[in-house]
Amino acid sequence: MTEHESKQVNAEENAGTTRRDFLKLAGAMVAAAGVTQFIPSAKIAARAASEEESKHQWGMLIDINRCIGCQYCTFACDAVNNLAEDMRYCVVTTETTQSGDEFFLSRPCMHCEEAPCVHVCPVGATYKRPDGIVAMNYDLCIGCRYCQIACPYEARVFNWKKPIKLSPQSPTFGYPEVPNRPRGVVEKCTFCSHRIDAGLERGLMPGVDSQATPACVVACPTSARVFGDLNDSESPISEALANAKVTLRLREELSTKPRVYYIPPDPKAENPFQGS
Amino acid sequence: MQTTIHRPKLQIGKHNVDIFPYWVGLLVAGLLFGLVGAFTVLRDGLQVTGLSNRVPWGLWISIDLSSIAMGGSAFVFGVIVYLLRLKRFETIGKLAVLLGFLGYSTAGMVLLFDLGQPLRFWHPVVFWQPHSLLWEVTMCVVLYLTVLVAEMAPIIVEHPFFTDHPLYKKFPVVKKAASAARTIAHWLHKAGPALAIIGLTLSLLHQASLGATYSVISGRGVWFNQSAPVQFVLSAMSGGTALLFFLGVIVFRVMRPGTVEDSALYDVARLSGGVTLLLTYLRLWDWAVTNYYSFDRNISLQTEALNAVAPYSLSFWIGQALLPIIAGSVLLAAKSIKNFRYLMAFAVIPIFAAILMRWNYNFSGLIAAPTYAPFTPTIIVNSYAPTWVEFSVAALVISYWLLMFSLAIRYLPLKAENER
Amino acid sequence: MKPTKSLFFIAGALTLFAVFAALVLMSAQTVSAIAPAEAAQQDLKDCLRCHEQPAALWESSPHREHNVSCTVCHKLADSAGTHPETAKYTVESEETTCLVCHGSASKENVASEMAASQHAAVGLNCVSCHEQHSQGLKVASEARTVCENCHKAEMRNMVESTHFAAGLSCVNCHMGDGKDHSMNISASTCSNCHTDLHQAREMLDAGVEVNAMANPKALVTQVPAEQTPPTAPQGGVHLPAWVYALAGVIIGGVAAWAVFGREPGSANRKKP
Ligand code: SF4
Ligand code: SF4
Repeated sequence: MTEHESKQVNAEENAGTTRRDFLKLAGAMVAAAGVTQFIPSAKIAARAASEEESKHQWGMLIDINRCIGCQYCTFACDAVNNLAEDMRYCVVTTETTQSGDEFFLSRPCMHCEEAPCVHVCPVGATYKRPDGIVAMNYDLCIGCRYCQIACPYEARVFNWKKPIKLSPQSPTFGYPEVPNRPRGVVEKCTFCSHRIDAGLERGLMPGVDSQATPACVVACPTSARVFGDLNDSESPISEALANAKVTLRLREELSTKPRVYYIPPDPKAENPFQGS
Repeated sequence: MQTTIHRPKLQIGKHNVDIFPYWVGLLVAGLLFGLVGAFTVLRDGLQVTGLSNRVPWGLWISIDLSSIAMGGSAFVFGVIVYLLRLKRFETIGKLAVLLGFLGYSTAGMVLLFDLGQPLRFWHPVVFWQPHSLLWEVTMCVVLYLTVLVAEMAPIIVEHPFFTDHPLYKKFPVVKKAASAARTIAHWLHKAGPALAIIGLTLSLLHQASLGATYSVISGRGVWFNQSAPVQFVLSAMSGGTALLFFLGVIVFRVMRPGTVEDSALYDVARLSGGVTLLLTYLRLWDWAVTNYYSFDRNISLQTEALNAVAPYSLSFWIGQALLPIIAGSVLLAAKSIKNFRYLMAFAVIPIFAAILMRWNYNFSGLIAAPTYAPFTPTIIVNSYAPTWVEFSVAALVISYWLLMFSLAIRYLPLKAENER
Repeated sequence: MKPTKSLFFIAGALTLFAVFAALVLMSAQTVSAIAPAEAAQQDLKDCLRCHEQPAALWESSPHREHNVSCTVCHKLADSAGTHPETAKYTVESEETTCLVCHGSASKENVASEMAASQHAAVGLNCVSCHEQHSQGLKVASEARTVCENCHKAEMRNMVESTHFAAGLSCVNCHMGDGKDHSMNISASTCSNCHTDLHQAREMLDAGVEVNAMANPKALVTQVPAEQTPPTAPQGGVHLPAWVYALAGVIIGGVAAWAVFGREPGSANRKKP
C-alpha cells in the first residue's frame, strides 16, 4: 500500500523523481534478492561499477554547414554493421530552418547521458558503458521494444527479420566488422565501440587515428563529423567545440543530454549542396 | 451442499437446446485458428505483424492492457472481502478472483507473442533492472499471477471432477499427488487474507505502473502525463467492476440462482458507477490541465494530427466523458432502478470506456510522434494496420478467456467459505 | 702494428662492411621494386588467406594490372609483434599513399587537378569517390552514378535532358576525354561536339540519337526508379471493417436486448 502511495504521489509530482523513487524501491528489492539468491550479486556489483566514469567520454560533433547530404556516413555504417536498408542506425534527412532554408540533418544515436532507453529496459540489455557509450547486450534483450518507444530520436531499430548476408553498401563502403544480431532483438548505433576498444588496445586514439574512429566519421568526405574524447581538451572534438560559435543538441528540452552536438546551419555559410 | 447450476437453454421450436456445446465448439474453433497465427508468429518472427519501428506496439499491447483492466475487480474485491470483511460479497469475490486470473493470464499469454525473443520471457525475473517500469510491471504480473493461482488452486483441486475421477482411484500415486496438492492448497487457503493483501498491493502497484509505463516517456508529448497512473487504476476499477457486475448477473442470477442476493449485485453496480464518475471527473481535470490551463505545443500538434486521422477528441468527449457520466449515474442509482437489463446494458459502457482509454493511450503517442528536427519540430503521423496473424493471436487469447470462463462458471463451485 | 694503425684498419673494415651491407640492402629493395610481380604474388599468398573480400576487389583492379599489391599501400605499423596478433597494417594519409604514384610527379597529375577542384575545396579526397581496393567508383546502392551520391538534384535534371537521352553522362562534359579531375568545363567543352548550330542539328537528326531523343523519357524509365519520398500515407490505425461491425453487433445486441429482452434470471431470492 505504502509503496503504491509513495509511487503515485511521486508520479504526480514530477516524473523526473520517479526514478529516484524506484531506486529506493530497487534497493529494497535488491536486498530481497540477496536473501533469495535470485540473481548473482556479482551482476549488481558489475552494474554499479560500470556507473563509475572512465577516463574517456566519447562524443561527436556534426557540422551541419559542411554536410552535403551524400549519406556516406549512412552507407559506411550500413557496411560496417551489415545493415539492410530498412535497418539504418544513422540516417540523413532534409530538414528546414525556421526561415524555410533546407539543410541536411545526419542523425546517429545520441548516446544520451541520461538515456531514456537505458532507464526503461526491463532486463538491463541496454546499458551505459563507463566511457559514455550506450551499448546493447544482445543476449539479454527480450525484444519488448520499450526502448524504441522511449528513444526520442528514433535511433533504435528492431530486427523484424533475420539478418541479411551482406549489406548492399558492402564492399563499396566497407566490410562487416561486427557479428550479426539475431532476429527479435533491438539494435542501435554503437559509436563503433569495437573500433574504439580495439584501437585503444593498440595505442591508437579514437578521433585521431582512423582505425579507431567510428566508420561514419572516417567516411564523411567533407569532415563534417568530428569524434573524440570530451574529457580531453586536446582532442579534435574538444577543439572543434571550443572553436564553434554556437552548438546545439537535438531536443534539449527533454534533458537527455545527448553526446552528439551539432553546429546549426549558418545562413551566411556557402554550401553548394544545400537545398538540393 | 451442491448448488444446482442452471444451464442456459435455447428454445428452438419444441426443442430445448443446451447451447453450451456449440458455444464451446465455437471457442475451440477460435482457439485453433489462433494457434495457426501463434505458430506463424513463433516461426517467422514479428515480421508477420503490421508493427514497424515507428509503431512498435500495437493490437497485442492494447489487448494486454485491456485484459489486465478487465481483471481489475480482483483487487477491489480483495479489499472488500478480506480487509473490510463484508461477508455478503464473498461469493462474488470468488468470481472476481477468477476474472483476475483470466485477465492476467491472458495478458501474460499475449505478451509472450509480442516479445521478439519469446524464449527469453523469464529474463526480467532473473536479470533485474528496477529502474524500468516495464520490469516492475512484469514482476508484479508474475507475482500476482502466482497469488491468484494460489487463490484459485483450492477451488480446482477440491473439485469432485478430480476427486471422483476413475484414474484417481486406480493409481495411488495420483491419489498421493492429489492429496499433497490439496494439503498445499489448504495451507495456501489458510494464507488467503495475507495473499489477498499481497495481491492487492501488487495489483494496485502495477495497474498504476502500467500507466506510468507510458507517462515516463517524455519524448512523446501526450504520453508525458502525470495523472496516467491514477487514471489507469481507476479505469481498471471501473471497467473491471462493471464487467464483474455484468458477468455476475449471468452467473449468480441465471445460472446459479439463489447464491447471491440481488442487493449485493446492486452494490457491485453502484461501486462501478461511483468509480466511473470519479474517473470521469479526473479525466476532465486532466483534460483541462493539459489543454486549457497550460499549453504544450507538442500535445496540441499531436491532438490536431490525431483528429485529422481518427475521431480522437470525439472519442474522448463521447466515449470517455458523456457516456461514462450517464452510465456512472445510472449504475450509481442501481438500487432505485432495479432493472438488471438496463443496468447490464449501461455496465457495458465502462467496460468499453476502459478498453477505449487503453487503446487510445497506447496509440496516441505512437501514431502521432514528435520528430527530432531541431528548428521546426513537427508531428509525424504513422500508420498501423494489424495483420491477420495479429487478429488470429487476438482470437486465441480471447477464445482462451471465454473458454476458461465458460468452463469455470459451469463446473467450478464458486462459493463462499461458510457454505462449503 | 701500432695501435693507431690497427684502429684505422678496424674503422676501415667497418666502413667497408657498412657500405657493402647498405648496398646489399638497397639492392634488395631495388629487387622488390623491379620485380613487383613476385612481391605481389607473395602478398597475395599471405594476405589472401584472411582478407578475401578486399583481395577479391583488388584482383580485377588497375592496381592489380600494375602489380601494386597490398603492402604498397598498407604498411606495417611500427610496434613489436607479429601481424594478426599484435602488429597491424595501417594506411597512412592519402599524401603518403595515393599521391606517391598519382601525385604531381606522375604524368596524369591527378593531384594538382584535384587540388584545383571544388571537390577539394569542400574537403573531398580520393576515396570519397573511388573505392580503394578496386579503384572503381563508389556508387551507392541508391544512385546511378557516383556523382549522384551527392548531386541528387543535378542528376534529377540531367536524366530529363537531351544530353542524357543521347547517352552522355556527367563526366562527358565535366571531365572530358582527359579525365580531368578538376571537373571544370572549359571553353572547348561544348564546341567539341557542337561545332556549329547546323552540325548540332545534324547530330540531332542522326539515327539512334534521334530515336532516343524523340522520347527521352523512354530512356529515363530504364534507369532505376527515382527515389520519390513516399507520399504521406493516411496515418492512423487501420482496422478492417469487420472489427467495427463486430463491436457494433455486440453493443447493438446488448442495447436491443436491454430494450426488448427479458429480465435475466429469476427474481430476487433470499439465500436459503
Ligand atoms: S539517442 Fe535513443 S538510443 Fe541513443 S542513447 Fe539516446 S535514447 Fe538511447
Ligand atoms: S527491446 Fe531489448 S533492449 Fe529494448 S527495452 Fe526491451 S529488452 Fe531492453
